[in-house]
Amino acid sequence: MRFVFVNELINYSKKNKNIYLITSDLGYRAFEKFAKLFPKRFINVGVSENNMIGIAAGMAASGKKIFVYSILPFVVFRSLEQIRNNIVHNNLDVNIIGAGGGFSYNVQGISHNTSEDISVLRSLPNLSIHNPGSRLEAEFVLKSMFKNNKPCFARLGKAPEIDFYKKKINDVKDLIITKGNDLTIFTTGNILENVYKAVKNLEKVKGYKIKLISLPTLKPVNEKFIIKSISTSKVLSIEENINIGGLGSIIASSLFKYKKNKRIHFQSLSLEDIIHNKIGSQNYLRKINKLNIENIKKIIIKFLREKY
Amino acid sequence: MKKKNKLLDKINFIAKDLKKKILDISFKKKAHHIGSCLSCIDLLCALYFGFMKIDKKRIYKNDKFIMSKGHAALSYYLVLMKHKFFSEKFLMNEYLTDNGKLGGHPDMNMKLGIDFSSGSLGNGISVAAGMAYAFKEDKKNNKVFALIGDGECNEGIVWETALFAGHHKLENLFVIIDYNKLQGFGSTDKILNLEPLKSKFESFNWNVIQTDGHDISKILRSLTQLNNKKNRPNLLIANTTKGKGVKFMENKFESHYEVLNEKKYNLSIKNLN
Repeated sequence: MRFVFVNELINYSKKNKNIYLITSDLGYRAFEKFAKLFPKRFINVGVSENNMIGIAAGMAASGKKIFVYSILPFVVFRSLEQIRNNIVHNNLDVNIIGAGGGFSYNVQGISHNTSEDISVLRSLPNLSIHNPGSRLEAEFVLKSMFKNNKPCFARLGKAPEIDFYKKKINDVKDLIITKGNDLTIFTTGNILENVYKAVKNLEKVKGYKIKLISLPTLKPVNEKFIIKSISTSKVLSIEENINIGGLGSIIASSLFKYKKNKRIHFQSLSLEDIIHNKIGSQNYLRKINKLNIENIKKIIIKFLREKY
Repeated sequence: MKKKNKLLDKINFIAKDLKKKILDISFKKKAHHIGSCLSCIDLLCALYFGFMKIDKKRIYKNDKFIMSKGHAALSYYLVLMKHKFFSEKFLMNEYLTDNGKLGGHPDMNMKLGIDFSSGSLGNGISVAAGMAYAFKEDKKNNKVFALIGDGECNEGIVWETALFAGHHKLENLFVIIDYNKLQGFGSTDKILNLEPLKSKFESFNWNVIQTDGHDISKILRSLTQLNNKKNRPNLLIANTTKGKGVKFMENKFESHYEVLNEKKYNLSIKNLN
């Protein structure tokens, strides 16, 4: 999805001379075109994430619109205090692009993969959080990042080969990918690919009608949309993030406000609260965490068979 | 020459007045960090009344200042007060009070003249370099100043920024180290030796001058000399004394934490005079 990001960035940078891209020495084979088009607006601060956030804050305080880029855990966890004190607290126009997220960096290990970034960042007030699951979703959230002048974060993993949308996303309503009245599933980020494939397969094999909704923006939460979208008594959330403070928590707290005269049964499929330091491919890591297509299908079938 | 002396007299007069106010207000508000405030007040007065461009009516033309050693906030608030960003009454009402605007560490507030927040050490120099970079990009003449502590130089980000500013030749960046040689738990040479500090920064491609941080005339002369050199970021290593002017506080790292009781307050005022 970083190529979607770079292309959009180039488009917007042609119109807005205040846009700067800062990297801590990452983005090889991605930022060359931007650097060539806007040599003065591309800053490689070197391998120094802390200074990157400081420089970004200082430049944004002087009226610039800043995009900072690094591998997700480096920019988020190493610089968390600076994101909190310098950027979020002062409401500066700094947009943090974290490459990877979840098990995107597969065999590279726990230093590169993340299970807790969304939970940690969601606790920061005034920071918008995006987690797109496809190219079109990435375009959709980037549009809001270019439009707003507030602190933002985006988790940009690898884009799936296919897109799940038939047309450009212009409105949250477009995020309802499939319709159905057996089960409502909310998901976020690039695990969407597996969820989509599981849903499609179950429709074909078992005839289940599942409503699948993707939520590429996790803050601010659109509770109204979430509540309005629920049209079944069973609701499932699926995410490649820890079970504390992620999508499951968002749906659970939205359900408290569900006022329709109907009982809702809610389950959440997320990463367990353990140290995720196993080595393996993205598929392997998803499999041992029950996020592969087969396991998602099993969980859906079990949930649908449960009687309340 | 006469004009220069007049300016020096004026700044010295203000500095003396503000030193007394540091003691008064710290006593009344039971504030810590008195030693830190006395260590850097001469530097702040030299900057704000003798060197920086500050015009409340044309803020966009102003030089920027970051009080990176945020724990000495009171001395910073006092120079802003002298610049009439707010009144002394406002300071007394807002400083360290419930729902006050002036906390133990400064929070960014353009109306009050506070250009950026601080409190967590090491960040100020980096943010200042970002501001300087933006001004340079926009071909503006504004300068950016950051006052940092010597203990603060333990932080890795200080050296990340030192590399960055040297590499990008940020000649509009002025960093001042309040070098009182005492930090949280004792003396800098025993905890994490900074020496040779001057040549360290020089080797990072900075212009560096080391001078007496309590002699307003020397501070101003050094800043002017730095300003005349081009193509490099500027560092003023200001040799200072923690608790300067109050004998029983001088060179005592305890003055970082101690709150004045009435007896000590009276003694400190007598000391100062």
